[in-house]
Amino acid sequence: MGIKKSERAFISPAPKNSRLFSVLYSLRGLTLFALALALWGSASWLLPAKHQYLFPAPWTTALALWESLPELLRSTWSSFLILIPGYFLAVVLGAGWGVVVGSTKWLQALFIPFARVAAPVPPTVYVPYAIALLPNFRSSAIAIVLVAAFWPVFLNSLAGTVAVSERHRDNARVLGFGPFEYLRLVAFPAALPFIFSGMHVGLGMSFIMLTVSELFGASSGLGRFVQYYADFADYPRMVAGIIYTGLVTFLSMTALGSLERRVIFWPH
Amino acid sequence: MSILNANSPASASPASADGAPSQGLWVDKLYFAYDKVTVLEDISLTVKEGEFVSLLGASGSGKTTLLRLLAGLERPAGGRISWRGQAVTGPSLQRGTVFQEYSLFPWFRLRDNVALAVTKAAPGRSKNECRKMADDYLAMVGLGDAGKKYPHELSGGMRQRGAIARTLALGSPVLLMDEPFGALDPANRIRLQELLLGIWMESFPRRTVVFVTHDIDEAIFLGDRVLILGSSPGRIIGEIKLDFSRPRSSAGLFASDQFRSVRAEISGYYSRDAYRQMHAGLYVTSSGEGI
Repeated sequence: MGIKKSERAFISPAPKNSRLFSVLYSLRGLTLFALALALWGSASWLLPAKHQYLFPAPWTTALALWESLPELLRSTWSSFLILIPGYFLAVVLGAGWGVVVGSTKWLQALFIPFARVAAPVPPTVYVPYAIALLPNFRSSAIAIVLVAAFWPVFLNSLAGTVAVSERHRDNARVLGFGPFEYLRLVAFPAALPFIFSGMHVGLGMSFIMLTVSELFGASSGLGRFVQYYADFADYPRMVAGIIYTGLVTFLSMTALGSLERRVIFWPH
Repeated sequence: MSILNANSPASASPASADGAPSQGLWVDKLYFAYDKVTVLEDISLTVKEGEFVSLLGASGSGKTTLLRLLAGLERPAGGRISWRGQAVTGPSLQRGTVFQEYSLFPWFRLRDNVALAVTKAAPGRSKNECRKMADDYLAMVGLGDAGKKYPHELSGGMRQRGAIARTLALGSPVLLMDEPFGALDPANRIRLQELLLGIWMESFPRRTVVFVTHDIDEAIFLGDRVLILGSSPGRIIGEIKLDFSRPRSSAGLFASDQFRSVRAEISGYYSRDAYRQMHAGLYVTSSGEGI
């Protein structure tokens, strides 16, 4: 009905080959992975022989990954025995203390100046001291992870509590909530979106500090695995360790993301 | 009643309420300023116990501020507020408040939102008892089956019903309502007005209600009395007693001549206030000043 040909082309059903196209289109996120793999493969192929050992071919690395999988799993276990307690304590203390400070004026005046100075200190500088101070490697690594993850969780929890909307506060007041009820029933749930963004940053920091501290005194663990095979110039295993560690980090972040979607179900 | 404090508003302490009547809600020479701009000026009013008062005002008349002062959510710059002879110095379970929107906590189920109020009103009950009582209050507002839902799963009208149920659960003798139906469509609005009147009429003793609105029809339909607030600064410019028989039906009331004459009277108060503002140079001029 009076539609010009050019317009009809615009609204007509998609052409027959659209299925192939849509499959390819849905895989577009993998483009860079494929490109990187191709580049890596050709580098290991084309580089002069004396440099080739630095670029183990993808298939060599895959084989190394497969062969060291039991060792990598043991390393993961050992790393998680540091990461989980350190991160968990950081989340509990950071979120809890952040909500308390965020809803108490005089604590803000007391604690925020200190936090301004202490929070930006790069946690890597604590590593040697923590190792010297605490009785064994595990406890010092846990302490380092704890300090590194605490600040982002705390600062976000604080910001989220300060930003609790006026209407939630009014409702708490007309319901006659005391300070403890306000913390538990209003401030904490209202700050959860902020707390989770702090937890995401904190988890990233935890992995960084975990692997860094394992370079120092560890006898096992993911960072230790990479360091160990680098010392022996066993680059296939070292690269396999890097890829595996990246995968573990990615999966942990994804798990945290799905936990967040489950916990915060209301629009905010 | 005697006006004890006739000098500057700042000298009146809101904490003392001598001279306050032992019954009802009493407001005496109330002042409120925000950033040195006077929002409310010399507000004096009394609400009898069991009375339904509509507080009608245009935007900028400070009607929400006045309600927040009555609730104890704001402190006055001068003047006194008392309920049953007790000075209002902060929020209290004596005065339940329903806000325009967002009265419910989004992270709790509707039933648990109401159960929080039940727990507050009668501490020491088990969780199950509180939930059961919450369901009873929800049934009163027609939400008996919606207790398991979260606020974001409810329509605006259902959320306001839930907010009313929560305030009923507090057991407060005073009900303060800040444009509770302002965000609803007309059909829903009338349904909730009738629901509110029904609940108010059936309860014994009747609650004392202060209902803030900018809707003239709503103010007339609901109230025993309308107080009209003028703008810049907010002050009471008129008061009309409404002796339409109860129970009222909106359809019958809106068609009556008496209703139309009250409506015209209120419009008269409004236009005189607008005229006054124009003369006082408060009105928006052609150059856009005064916005």
